[in-house]
Amino acid sequence: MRKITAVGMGIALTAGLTLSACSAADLEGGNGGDENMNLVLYSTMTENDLNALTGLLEDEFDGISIEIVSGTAGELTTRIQSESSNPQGDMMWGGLDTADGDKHSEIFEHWLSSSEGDVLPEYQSPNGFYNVDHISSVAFAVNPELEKELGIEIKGYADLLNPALKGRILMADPTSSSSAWNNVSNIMAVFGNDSDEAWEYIEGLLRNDLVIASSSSAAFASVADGEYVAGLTYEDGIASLLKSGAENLKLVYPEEGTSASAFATAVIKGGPNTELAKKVIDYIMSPEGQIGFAEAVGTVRMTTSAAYETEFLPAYESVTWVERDVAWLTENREAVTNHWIDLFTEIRG
Amino acid sequence: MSVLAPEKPQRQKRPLKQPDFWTIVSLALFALFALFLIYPLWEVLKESVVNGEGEFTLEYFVTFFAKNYYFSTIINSFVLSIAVTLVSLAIGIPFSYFYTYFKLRGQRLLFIGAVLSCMSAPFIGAYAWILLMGRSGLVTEVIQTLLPWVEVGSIYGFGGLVLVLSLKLFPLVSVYMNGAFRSVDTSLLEAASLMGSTGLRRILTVTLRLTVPTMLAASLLVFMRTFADFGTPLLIGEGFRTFTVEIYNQYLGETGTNHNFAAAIGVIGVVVTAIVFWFQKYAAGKFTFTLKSSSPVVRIKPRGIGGVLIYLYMYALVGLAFLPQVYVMYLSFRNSNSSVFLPGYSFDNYLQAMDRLLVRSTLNTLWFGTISMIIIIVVAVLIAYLVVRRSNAVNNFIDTMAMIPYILPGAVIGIGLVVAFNKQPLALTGTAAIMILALVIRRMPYTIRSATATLMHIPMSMEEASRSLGASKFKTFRAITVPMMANGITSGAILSFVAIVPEMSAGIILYNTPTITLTMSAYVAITRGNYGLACAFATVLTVLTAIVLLVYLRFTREEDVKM
Repeated sequence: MRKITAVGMGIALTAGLTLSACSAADLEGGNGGDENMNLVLYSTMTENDLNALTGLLEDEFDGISIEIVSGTAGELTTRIQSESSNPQGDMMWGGLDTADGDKHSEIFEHWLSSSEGDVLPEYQSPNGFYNVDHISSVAFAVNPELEKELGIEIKGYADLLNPALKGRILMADPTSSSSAWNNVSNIMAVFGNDSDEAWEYIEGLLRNDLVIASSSSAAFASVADGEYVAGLTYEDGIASLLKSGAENLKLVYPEEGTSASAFATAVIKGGPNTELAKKVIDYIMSPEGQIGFAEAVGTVRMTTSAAYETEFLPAYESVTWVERDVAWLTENREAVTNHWIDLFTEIRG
Repeated sequence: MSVLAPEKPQRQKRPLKQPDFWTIVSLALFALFALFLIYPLWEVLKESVVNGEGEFTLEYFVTFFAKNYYFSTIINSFVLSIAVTLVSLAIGIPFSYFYTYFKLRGQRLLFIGAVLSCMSAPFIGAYAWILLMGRSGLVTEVIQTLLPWVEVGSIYGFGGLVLVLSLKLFPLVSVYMNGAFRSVDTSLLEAASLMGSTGLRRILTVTLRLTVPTMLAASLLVFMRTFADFGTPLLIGEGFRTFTVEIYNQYLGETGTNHNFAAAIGVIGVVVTAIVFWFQKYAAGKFTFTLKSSSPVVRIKPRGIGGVLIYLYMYALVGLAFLPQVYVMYLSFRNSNSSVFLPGYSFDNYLQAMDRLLVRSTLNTLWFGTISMIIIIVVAVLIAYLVVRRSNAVNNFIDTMAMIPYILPGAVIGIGLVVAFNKQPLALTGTAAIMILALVIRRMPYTIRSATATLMHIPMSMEEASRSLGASKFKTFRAITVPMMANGITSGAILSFVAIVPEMSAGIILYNTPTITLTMSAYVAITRGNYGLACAFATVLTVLTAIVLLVYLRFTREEDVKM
């Protein structure tokens, strides 16, 4: 039995060492003292946005140390759900779509910031735990070089049905991506909720070999890379690429009209540092925080009623807006999704 | 030097009532599996038969089979897996044959290149392929400029998937077949040629026939690995919807997730895995021969046109398979700003990586990899012995259970582990322990398969001799069986380590900043849209693995590895 004992002890020893090493690394993060300044932030936001936010938070909160866990909205909410008997995160930022309704009611604390009154009326919290902090409007990502090659100009929905674009337009999967749902919601808003025109248009897109991309970012990244001529996507994704210096990319709002999905931040129920999370969200939602973020990042529209500038997005007044019935969309989401699945199966086989 | 005639798998028959060393091991393993594998999976999969209100229902299973939208995903995955398995065998076996029987220059380079291609982190590899062979890909444009009449096929869809996955998985076949070819007794080959069978005929009727168990073991792994792969179809599937992507979407999609439905699909996946696995076991059982270790292979130098072709084949194959990683390395030195690559070169991405926990990622990768590998080797060897020498219901069940994690997307296993081990007395969430557990569960199948295949080739007579001389069962195992298996275990261990290191999908749910690894750092960089940084992490990963392989080759000349 000696060899097994030796091997077993060896394993136990190394495991023990690793665990202690890791927990030691854990404690390094600026702790100690009376106030816990360690924040565990679950976020779907990209590099640009996270850098802007952490910069602002480090200025505002002295000594804060932010640990970021990244993932898609689905990954993070599932993770929070699974961790619910021993939560590891403090708050989630990004990916929480107001179209979710009450879906995540169990995992977030029902708490709203003190700046709720300063938020534009259409973006106030729909469910008592989403602090709606930014919006994302539907836009087309267009590759101007390929557009010129084909000799067309893409200005709106009607142009996307051009046979020259067969198989050269993409959109993420509405059954799993919030940005694709954003686009479907806008089509509903423009052509009429669940109207024949709306579904005829979607059918037209599918028959024009609309490509279903695997991720939200593919819908603009692949267009910039020249893989596709146009993508049905969202303004801040496109603007981020433009800010980074992408050359072959254009942001086009559909001339028939656009609308936005609104995204929120929320406190995770029972997290290790709920107190700090609430202070941080209070800051994010305050007019000061909203303006600060908008100007630092330059690519995102906010929900505050205060005035702010965004360097890489066209001014609010220059865009044609349509109204979106969020309540109807939330209620009928499953029906619309099933209708999409049936249509997709019918056409694609 | 003799060959025993084909016989039934060797088992020991002993009266039922005497518990011995192996019974204890069997029960201990069963208990460990029950706690660390069955319990977490049960937590997740039990959702499949209850609806939102908690009532028993089979509606999700019905929906899956009734709606073609969902059912087609299984068909697609099957077709894809079969295609990739066949292509991998077709390119991997010749590669292995030439490697074993010919003296080639740069043998070590070929070996390392092949193994490294096998281990690229899924997202990054597929993304590199898009950059190379996509509609505006680098290679596509070069071909279109130089040879405008050639129509470059699309990297997207079924064809692209088969290409990318076969290039990634053929090394799996080759490494296994290397060991198998070396164990073929040259005296048999000589006897065959004396009787008039030479060249291709001899290869087909003698050499390949003797290596069938290994071929089947390798086929199973390639099949399952393709079936379970979700990173590649996610990125380049483009409309070709596969099964594991569907499971992933149902669990982790941003909209319209239905965990009960997802659990139902998961259960179906488990059943499919089990069926494929039993089929392979049955097939392998028909081809058991034992061979005593024999004279080492004499390598011939390739000559003439045939020689040139052989060199061309070997280097072109490895070159093509390794191309995406080379491109990623190149990109890591380009200037970049988030998702956009700018002109000019610098070390900026690496400097940024240093700021973003590069050192910690590397150390964690090494620690977790080593510990997982040790645990896996110990458990796999024990299971192999139980399955081959003491085949009974319990042991076969353990064997099947160990293969199940192969099919479920790592994310599902991650979810199961979190839910199961989130509370006292075993609150492992957020610790290194749960990461190691996930790695062990996910990557054990490789070593089990290679250990099993190895043991099947070893005759029982040695062990019987040891027992008759008075050694205890444990001593026989330790002093006779394990050393005889050692070389086979080593090649399986290499594959395990090389497979552990890029493990990512379970990590998505389990990782946090203290336990982050290189692959997770790369994934996080991609999620955040910072591609230059992702390439830097991926390159460090490739270099690290290459170093590990070189060290391995230095200490155990790969030529000596027998199976």
